[in-house]
Amino acid sequence: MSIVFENVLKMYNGTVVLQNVNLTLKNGVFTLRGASGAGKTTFLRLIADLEKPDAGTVCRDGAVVSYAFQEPRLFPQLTVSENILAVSPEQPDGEILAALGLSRASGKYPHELSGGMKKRAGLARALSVDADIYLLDEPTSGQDPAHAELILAAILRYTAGKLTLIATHDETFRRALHGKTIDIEGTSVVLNDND
Amino acid sequence: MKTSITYSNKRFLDRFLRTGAALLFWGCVWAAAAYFVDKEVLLPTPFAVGRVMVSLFAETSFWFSIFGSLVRVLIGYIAGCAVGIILAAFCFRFRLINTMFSPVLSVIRAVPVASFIILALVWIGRDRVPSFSAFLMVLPIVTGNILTGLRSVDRELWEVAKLYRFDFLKKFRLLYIPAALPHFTSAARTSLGMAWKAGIAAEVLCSLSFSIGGYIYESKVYLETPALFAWTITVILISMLIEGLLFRLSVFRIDSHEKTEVAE
Repeated sequence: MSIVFENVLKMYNGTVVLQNVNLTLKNGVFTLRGASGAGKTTFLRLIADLEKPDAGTVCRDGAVVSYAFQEPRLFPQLTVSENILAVSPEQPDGEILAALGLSRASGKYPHELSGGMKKRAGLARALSVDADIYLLDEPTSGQDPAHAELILAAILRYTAGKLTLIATHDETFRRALHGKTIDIEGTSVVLNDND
Repeated sequence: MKTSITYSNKRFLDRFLRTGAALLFWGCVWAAAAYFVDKEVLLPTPFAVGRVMVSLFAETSFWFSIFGSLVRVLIGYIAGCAVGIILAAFCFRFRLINTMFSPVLSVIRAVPVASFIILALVWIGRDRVPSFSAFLMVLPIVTGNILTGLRSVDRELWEVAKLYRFDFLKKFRLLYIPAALPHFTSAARTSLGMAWKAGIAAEVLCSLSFSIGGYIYESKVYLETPALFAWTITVILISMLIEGLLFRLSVFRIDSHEKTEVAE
């Protein structure tokens, strides 16, 4: 599975966010590095087809994409378990919830969860999908070190062998992933193979 | 548990006493005004109205009239809700239908109910006018509110549905119903009282037999002011009763979940 960016330009209200993006990403873990507002989320949203480029193309050959958004985006009227079943009906949810320390939260509604639990529930939902590409936006934000470790282990386990892109500010977490780094600086996107 | 029951009983008793005191106050104001006016045809005393009400309760025609009026208004109300839901869905889905029906709904909202009643009297015959009037009261409110609800679907959840390629039924269940339901509930609540008043007004103008409005019309014609008051109080009591009963149904309750954060 691969994602190919060709001469991609993305603007918001006339301001260029990303330009001249030419990149080919194949299976493996890629972490996105850049300051807040640099365009990491925009980059992920272009891959997920939630944004259209203003010029150029993003090709992902009909791959199934799963996305853990920066905000959990859980359906408020569904329990954690039902939120997972809503996107992957054939997948048993117990194992993934246990992996993220959410066993006791499976029957709870999002409003009954803390911010950190909601975030992990959103991640559990994304990882439960048998996808070709996983997009994870700041998966460890708002988590204590113990839960960040659980998240790391779950990501490595459930995305093994798949193309995974992770936007993160957490340097420790980024290093522990042992992936390649994509730097987003100014409006340019550079794949850093040596990191 | 014991504490909460006691607290709940206390609140109920408190509310009951306050409402009772307010009713007693206005009853006294009414009695005093009737005493000073001293003309039953202009303003009867609460006791005269009470006497008429007691005598009405004993008459079979009273209960038949209430039943008849209720059926007529509820037919219009239910039809208005049903058509309103369907029309809102079509207006949301097809821009052309929205463009076509927007002015119609605005006209229905703006035209006085009496004009519609008189026109309907000419068009469809007097038996159907109360239901038609109730229908016209409900339709624009339900359609407008549901449309607002459908347009307020959470953009972030909509993206989740798009990403995971939800089919129409799943989108309907997880996005559109939760967005539209609170707006529908509010519309159903607001329009029920309006439908009831419009239905009774139509019965008055059509002077239908075996109807509350028909009896109100008769009371006016024969200057039976105590009976007019008694029927009006009956209309108010039934309106409160229907609202109370209908909104005990869970579908009309907007449960606001307490946003309690749980410690990990």
